[in-house]
Amino acid sequence: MDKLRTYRGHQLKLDSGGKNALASRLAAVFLVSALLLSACSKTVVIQGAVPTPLVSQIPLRLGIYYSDIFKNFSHEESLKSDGNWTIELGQQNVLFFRELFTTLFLEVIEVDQEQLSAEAIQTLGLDGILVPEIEEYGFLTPGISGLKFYSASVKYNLRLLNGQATVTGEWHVVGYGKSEGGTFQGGEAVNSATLLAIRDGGARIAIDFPRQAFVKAFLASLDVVPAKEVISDQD
Amino acid sequence: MIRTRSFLFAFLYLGVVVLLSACVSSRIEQTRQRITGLAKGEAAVILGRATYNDRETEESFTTCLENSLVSGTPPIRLISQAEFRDDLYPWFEARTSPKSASDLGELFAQPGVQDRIRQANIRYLAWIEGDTVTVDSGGSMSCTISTFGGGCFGMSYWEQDASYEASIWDLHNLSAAGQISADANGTSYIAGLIVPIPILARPGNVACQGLAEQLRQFILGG
Repeated sequence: MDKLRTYRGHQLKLDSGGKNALASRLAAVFLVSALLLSACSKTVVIQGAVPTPLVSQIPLRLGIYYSDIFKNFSHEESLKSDGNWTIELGQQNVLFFRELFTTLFLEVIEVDQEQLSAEAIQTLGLDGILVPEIEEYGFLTPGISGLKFYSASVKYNLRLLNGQATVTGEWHVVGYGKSEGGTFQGGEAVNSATLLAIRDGGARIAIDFPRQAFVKAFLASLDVVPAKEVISDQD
Repeated sequence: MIRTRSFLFAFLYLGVVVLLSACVSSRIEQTRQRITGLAKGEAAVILGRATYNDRETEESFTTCLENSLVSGTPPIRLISQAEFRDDLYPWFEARTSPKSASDLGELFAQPGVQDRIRQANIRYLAWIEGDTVTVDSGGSMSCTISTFGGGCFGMSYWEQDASYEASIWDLHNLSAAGQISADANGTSYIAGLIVPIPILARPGNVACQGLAEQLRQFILGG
């Protein structure tokens, strides 16, 4: 009986050891698989500096409507050579545009819907509503472009509604950015290139928005005189 | 005995360093348009030119220049590229930055630009253009790994050409102060004799050191 117990105990020990070994192997396989899968998919949350633009203020009181699509904008793409990418740029873009519009316009109020009535616009004391949208985002890796850089572009649409809640004009702006990146620095380089693209788009808006014909006409309709143009038009 | 061993190690170390460094030839040229000098507290900014074609000055090159100018003798006070661009946003972005010193007058007329540059006491802007490219490569090397061991056999080489130019603008006079160009060329090798032995030429680094030294003398007016 004792022998049997010992035998059973021994068997039990062997079983336990076998289970442990199997568990270790499974854990190792799981870990390696997880590592391989994570190497194939990247999520980049765009983060960076938000500079305050040094520009003349446009004497306008505007409501700004950031849609949920704009606030949470993310881009997903599957690349044969570089795996799956998710790039979340909405949050950074909102932070950037908040700073930009607050400096660029005399007064800014964030509104929670685009289609405010004329009465609501007047009650809020606004001249109009500005709606920024991201129409397209794209990026290129060195694997696709054959260049040394990661590059990104953001296409914005700015829609301006007047005090009667009708569209007075739309303007498409494209921002470009590129950044060097090593073999294992793709995420960092895409972040940097996207930040530069947002900055570039913001720079165009800060300098060229008041030069747009529909903006000039809108200002004239309000009998508002913009700050003197110092830099000559490059359009 | 210890002294002899130390000498031997030093000799071996020197030998390895000499063996692993390939030759680089370089040329620095300078054109001066104005008398320069840097008063106490005045600063300079090193800016890489960004373009939208397939060439751009590497950030590592401007960082190398900044490190050399800040740490050399005498050190030069520098405002970092990122800080300068943020402080003067949107006027020094890739698309909006002034293309020549003659555009500075227009830029300084923008509200706040002149004040911000005066506050930071920035005297010079140095625009860096150029890059390092591989102009030739060849040879072949193969490496094998097996359960019995491994090794590399063969030889490969690549020739790199580093060509950079610094355009220095004087922000007190709103004019170009001069240009400095640095060219360096070198060929690197990897010889596979079981163990791969790299013999590296670093023309980019040589161009950086040469340009930094000349830039220091130019700014200080030496």
